[in-house]
Amino acid sequence: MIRKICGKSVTGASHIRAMKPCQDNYKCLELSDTVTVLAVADGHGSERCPYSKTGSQIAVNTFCSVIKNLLTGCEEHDHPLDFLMSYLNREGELRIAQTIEEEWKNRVWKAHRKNKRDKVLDAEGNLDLDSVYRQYGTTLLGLLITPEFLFGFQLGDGDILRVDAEQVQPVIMADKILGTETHSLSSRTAWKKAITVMRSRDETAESPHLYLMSTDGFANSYPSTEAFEQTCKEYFEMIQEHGFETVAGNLKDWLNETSEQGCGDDITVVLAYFS
Amino acid sequence: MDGLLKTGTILTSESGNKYSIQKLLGAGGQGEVYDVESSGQHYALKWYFKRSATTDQKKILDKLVSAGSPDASFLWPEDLIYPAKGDSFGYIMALRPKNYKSIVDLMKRKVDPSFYVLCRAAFNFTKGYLKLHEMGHSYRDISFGNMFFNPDNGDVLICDNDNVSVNGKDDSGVLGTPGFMAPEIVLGKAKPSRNTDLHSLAVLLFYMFMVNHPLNGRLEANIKCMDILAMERLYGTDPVFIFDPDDTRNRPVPGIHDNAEIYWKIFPQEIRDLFTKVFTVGLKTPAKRVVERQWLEAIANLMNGIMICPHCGAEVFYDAAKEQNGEAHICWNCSHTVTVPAKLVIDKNRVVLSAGAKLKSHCIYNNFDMDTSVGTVVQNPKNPSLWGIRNEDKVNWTYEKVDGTQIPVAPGRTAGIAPGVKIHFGSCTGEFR
Repeated sequence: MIRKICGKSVTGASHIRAMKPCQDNYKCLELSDTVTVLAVADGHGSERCPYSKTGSQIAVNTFCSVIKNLLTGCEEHDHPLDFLMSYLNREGELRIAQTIEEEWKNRVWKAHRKNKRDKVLDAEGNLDLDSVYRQYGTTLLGLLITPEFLFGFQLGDGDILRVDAEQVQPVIMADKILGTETHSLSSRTAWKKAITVMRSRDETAESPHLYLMSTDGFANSYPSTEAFEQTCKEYFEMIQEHGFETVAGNLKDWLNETSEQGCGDDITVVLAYFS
Repeated sequence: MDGLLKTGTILTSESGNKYSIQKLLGAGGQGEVYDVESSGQHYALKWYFKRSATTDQKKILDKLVSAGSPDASFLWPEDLIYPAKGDSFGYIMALRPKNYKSIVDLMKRKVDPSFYVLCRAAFNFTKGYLKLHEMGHSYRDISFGNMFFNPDNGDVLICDNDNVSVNGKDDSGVLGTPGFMAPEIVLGKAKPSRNTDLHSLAVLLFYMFMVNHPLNGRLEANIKCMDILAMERLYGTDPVFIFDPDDTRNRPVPGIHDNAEIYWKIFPQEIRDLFTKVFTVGLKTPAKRVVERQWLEAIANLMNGIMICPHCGAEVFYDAAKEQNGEAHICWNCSHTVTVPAKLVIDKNRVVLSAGAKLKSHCIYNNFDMDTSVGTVVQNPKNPSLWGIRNEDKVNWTYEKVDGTQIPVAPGRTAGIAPGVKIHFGSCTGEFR
């Protein structure tokens, strides 16, 4: 199948008015002709999280790096993707989630020191790393797409959907927390809140389809889940009708418009289209 | 998301039953699992990916269905679906009830079973593997993803049994999961067998009791990126037990491996000794690994040795080594001293006689039946300061006083608990201490 990837982040309309930068980040890594790693992160952006833009950037880099390292490590095996699929399936919610959390926290602490930012001390004068991490708080969505399987990772809110001509289906059914709170990579034992999923793929047998990853600003801009899913379906239909490049070229404007008319939050969308 | 099979598809099994696909439940390394319905009953169907639907896999399934399940704790292949030559295939098994939780749920603290329930689940897993091994099979793939337990009572379900094969026979491509594989498999020096299962079982038990991997300590914390090569070093080329008495390189790191530090101290020496053995000499010498019967005896004693702290109600394990050393039993929760009640010692088995404690069949018959009670600790209704064990077995016991006088204890009758007194159970004798 032919693979086409694009992504865009836009600063939320309300953030522009408040002169706040976009706290979202995304990363698309095409590791080979057939293996793709995608990540989307939504920095919390609250006053308690002044560096969450950096946090979300570190998050997408961490996911891509951890998955890339795993793939490299599997290359010695006779059937590397089979081995990796089995490993991710068994260890996704434990070892992989723990590794991502540890790696993100290591990188955050390194960035914090490099930028000579204030060390946070607790009441007894000891370094309070939890408070440091909190300043970089972010969610993280990740997707590994291979010809044989799909591995999804989600910590916090946001959506990963699969869209085809017939239906729109969530790849992961994440925990939904009421209100504006979400799970965060910065929390202690964040890995416990991570959800992973493994799905088989058979590119040779599949009809054109789209994976759509988005931060919660996208879904929250629509009055209902149905309206949001209808929009995702329309993206797919527009790709089919007008071509992927047209949609990619207009994506930023459309997302700006969505944020203005919707919830006003930052929005990031990553599209991976297979035909 | 849909899987390889669409909802509503009807498949006919080898035994002629028709199964209708209801929904995709999940996918693994070899295939997908579906909820299927037949004659109003729901089952699970494992459907192989084409690359895994091999002739060898088919042969294994045929053998497993013919052999039958070792016991009810296995979600064993019951029926086979071979649609047509060249197509993929699958097998039918019982559907796992939703109240069964994984060990990952335990790690994530989504479930919080009592120590007794945890011990019972560990006992049942071990007993299941004993039966499987006694049938001449090896499981090959003990890991988190295959083990489920009921957090209310410790009943267990062992899944993914389609890789079970004759011990020592290399007819399945499955090697296991890195953290659970024996070092000799990680190093490529051996194929899965009963011996390597024993390592994986010990890892599982350690995880259940200590909520940490036995080889994940400082050496793991020092790894900058946990990739496959790092895991090979940690679990294959240089495995070091986190509580190895002679090698302190891999001790738990505060803030990272706190669970191990906390729980290690809670469990009695008998259990710690077994873990130390299996994760020191057992790492390099597979023949010296702890076998299922040793685990079962030790876990049975764990279950029989749970005392309830009178101050806070926490479960505290009796530790014979502490008593021998004259150490008090301190509650891990409230730090109060817990007074050890009388004990009934029957060969290797030991029962702490707290109020209401049950004497299990295993204690006198060594049959690893920890579900059937053959006696209960009861209070004398006329003199509440006196305690006894009521015979709930089907045979007479003989009560032997300190002076050698023997009195029969018929079913329904109670034998008084007093130091030095013995009970003859027929094949064995217990002594109150």
